[in-house]
Amino acid sequence: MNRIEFMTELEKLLREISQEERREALQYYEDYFADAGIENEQHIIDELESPKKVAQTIKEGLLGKEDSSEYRETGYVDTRFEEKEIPANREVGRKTNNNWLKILFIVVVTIFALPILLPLIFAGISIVFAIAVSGFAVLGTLVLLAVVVMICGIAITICGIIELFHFPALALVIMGGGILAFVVGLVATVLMIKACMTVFPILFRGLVNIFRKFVHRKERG
Amino acid sequence: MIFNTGAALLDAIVLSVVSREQQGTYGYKITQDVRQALDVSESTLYPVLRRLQKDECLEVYDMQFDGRNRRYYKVTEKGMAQLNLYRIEWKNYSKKINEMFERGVEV
Repeated sequence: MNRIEFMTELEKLLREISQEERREALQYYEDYFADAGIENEQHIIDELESPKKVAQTIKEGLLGKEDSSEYRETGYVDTRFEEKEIPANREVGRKTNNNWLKILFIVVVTIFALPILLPLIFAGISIVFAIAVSGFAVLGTLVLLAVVVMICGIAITICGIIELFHFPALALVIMGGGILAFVVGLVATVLMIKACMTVFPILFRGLVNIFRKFVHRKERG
Repeated sequence: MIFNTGAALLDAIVLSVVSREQQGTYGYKITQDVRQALDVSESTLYPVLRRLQKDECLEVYDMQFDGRNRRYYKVTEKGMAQLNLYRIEWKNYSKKINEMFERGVEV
């Protein structure tokens, strides 16, 4: 393998890295061969071993993986898993800068999203409220219906008692119907109140949960 | 070499080698110079030089040489500060190790 073959192969192997990195690396090795001179060409190719190995070194360098271990005063350290402490100010500077950018980004997005987000939030709240109110209303209506049936039963029974002397047979039928309506109404009322006692707390809990989730998500965002 | 050379020591040596040339120096020469102290392979230094360049410890420029563009590396101000830091760290470190070894001889 000569220098040109070596460089062609290396270029091929570096296809997956960015154009800038590829150009830099290729320029370095072009320079390297040129500066070493033709007399050293074969020696360098032998020592570089293969374009594959050189390409791997370059790629690992881009990932910050060169020299992944070393001896320290604190013991054997795998440098891949630690932050480089020097130059310290640069690392810290970049980090805070990043955070500021993030905050700025969130603020800008929030401002722009506000005209859309605010009506959406209100719409969501309204829908939840409407569902809750409807739930209460339906249950309340059923309770009232049961109470009304009961009251009608009482009224019909009273009518029956009044008519007892004019048309005894008919009055007895009316009274029977009235008492029946009263009992059905009573049973329905008791059942409906019982149902309300179990359903209302569930509805309330659901409502509270929805709001809590909403508020928490906002806090997290 | 028996002892491992960590990334920091290699950085320090490269910065030191490059800083010796006021006008900057080039890849092949850096490798030859570093080899006076460390047995590095010819492919070791490119990632190191590239990283130091990205960290703004080294700057590069191209200059005509022998009818082609040759890339030169120069230590920046930041690189010099970094090198000084490495020198102090190394002084302390090697002093401690030396003391340790000398004490070992006495026993």
